[in-house]
Amino acid sequence: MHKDDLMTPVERAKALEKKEPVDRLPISMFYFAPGHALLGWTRKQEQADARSLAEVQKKVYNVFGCDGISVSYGLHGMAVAFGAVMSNPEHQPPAILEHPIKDINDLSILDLERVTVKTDPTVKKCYEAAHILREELGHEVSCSMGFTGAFTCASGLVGTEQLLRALHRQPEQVHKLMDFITQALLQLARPFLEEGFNVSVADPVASGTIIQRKRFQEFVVPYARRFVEGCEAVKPGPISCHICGDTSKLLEDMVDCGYKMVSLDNKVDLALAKEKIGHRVHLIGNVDPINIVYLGTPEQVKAGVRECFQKAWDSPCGFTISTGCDSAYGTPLENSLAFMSEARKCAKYPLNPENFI
Amino acid sequence: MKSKEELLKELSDCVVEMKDNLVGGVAKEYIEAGYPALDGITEGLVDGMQRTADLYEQEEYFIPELLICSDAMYNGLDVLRPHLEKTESREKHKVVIGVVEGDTHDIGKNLVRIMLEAAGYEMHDLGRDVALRSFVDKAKEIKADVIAMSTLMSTTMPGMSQVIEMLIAEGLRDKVKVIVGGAPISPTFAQKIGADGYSATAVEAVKLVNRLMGVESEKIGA
Repeated sequence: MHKDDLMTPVERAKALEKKEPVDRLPISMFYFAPGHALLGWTRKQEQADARSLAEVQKKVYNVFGCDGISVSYGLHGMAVAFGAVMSNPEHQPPAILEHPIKDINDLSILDLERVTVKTDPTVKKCYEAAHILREELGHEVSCSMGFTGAFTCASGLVGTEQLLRALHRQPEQVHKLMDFITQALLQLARPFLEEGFNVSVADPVASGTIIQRKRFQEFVVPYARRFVEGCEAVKPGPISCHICGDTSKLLEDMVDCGYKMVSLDNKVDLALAKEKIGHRVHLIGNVDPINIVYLGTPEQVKAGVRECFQKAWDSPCGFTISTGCDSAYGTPLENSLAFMSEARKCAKYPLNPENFI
Repeated sequence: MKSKEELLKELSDCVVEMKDNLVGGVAKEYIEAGYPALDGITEGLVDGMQRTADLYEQEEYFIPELLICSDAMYNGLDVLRPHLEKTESREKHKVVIGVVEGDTHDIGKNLVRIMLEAAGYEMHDLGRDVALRSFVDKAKEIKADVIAMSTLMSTTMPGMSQVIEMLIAEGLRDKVKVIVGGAPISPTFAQKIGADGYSATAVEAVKLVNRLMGVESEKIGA
């Protein structure tokens, strides 16, 4: 257990479920990009195999004591499964150099056999890592599997520009692609769910900064809903979703996707989110990971945490403090530790506004 | 035969209404009717791109629409440009643009290039994952007025500041304006590294560069 806590995340979650008192409310902090650095590793070392993925997650948990650890499909997982050419930097997240589908009119490459827990290399590794983490740390903190939303998978497969043009030019091809990806994601998620792992979704390209609400409703909502309903049919339980950028105008639509927990980018005002959807879903967010956590001082980080609590602590369906997106590689450790210590103070149960005003 | 005004409006509408497959035909009709290419560009295509920018600012249009409208503009330009008379082109402000080393995300950079080009700037696009040194070398080579750098990745942000340091070291800093943009970039960051400006969108980037160059509104699109 983390030295600053009185309960483990597992004990805390169980107590909350039974509506019993806890030491503090759960805390989330995205820490994927910098994770490997806590071990003095490169990103390549982290990605080597399931064991190395698990070691990084264990380290992240030991240092911060967040209320969950996770393994992740990554933004490019599905593109990799279909043969994308990737960059492989030492420390930074990789990028797609060549997309698997050159022309969206030709989707013949798509084959559900290539996206199973046995054949998809990213998911296979995550599946093994999730089991290692459950075996070795499951008594204390649970591991979840982070999937990538269908729209972001689509952008990886055909390239973002081609996908965005096709929303107007070849909408029926986009629907075909989204339909396939949704089947693939459900097929990939099933084994995790059957074994009791929670699943979450990140869909950064389906952002309100990139596409308008009408397109979101047409191309994102129906597929997301199918995924969520499909997951819930295997294992009931809330599925969280994070979308990057400004989703202020998509908040209701994110709820319509069926997500019960909505994680907001720092571009969204938590007060507005509380007003619009706080009575329907649990809110997660949203200290600015760049301008505050990466570039700011520990004092600024603490003020950022307090500001989020001030805005959303009394959101009707609940609130979890988090960063507004993933922490950046190179974020000063003292800032991330300041985030956790202030979050612990503010999240003390029962919540008391005096702790964050 | 259609009047010049009618055809200009059609050219402009083709851009705004994303008719990238029809614009070439209209441009041909315009040229065959004997109207000047320059007007077709500035009062037709560029006018359309400016209306597109307005729709983007009103949140009617988003990135997919900007991409297709700019396709239409370029399809029209392909037809009209060869008909420009030499005397019609004039000295333009020069902008070097690129995505800094370590990052390959270039949609935002491309949109800034397109909007600045439509606004009459001479664009020198270095592409993506650009070595920091290249920004300085290119600016020196063409005597650029502006260096525009973009990144989507937080990890490559420090590269922007290194470019500014190189400019200072070579005594070029006061000869060229530096602007930065991209999802993780903020006005505070721009100020911190000593850039001359930041803009959140491609449309704002035009206003920013206009302000820095001391022009009200550049209107030559060729």
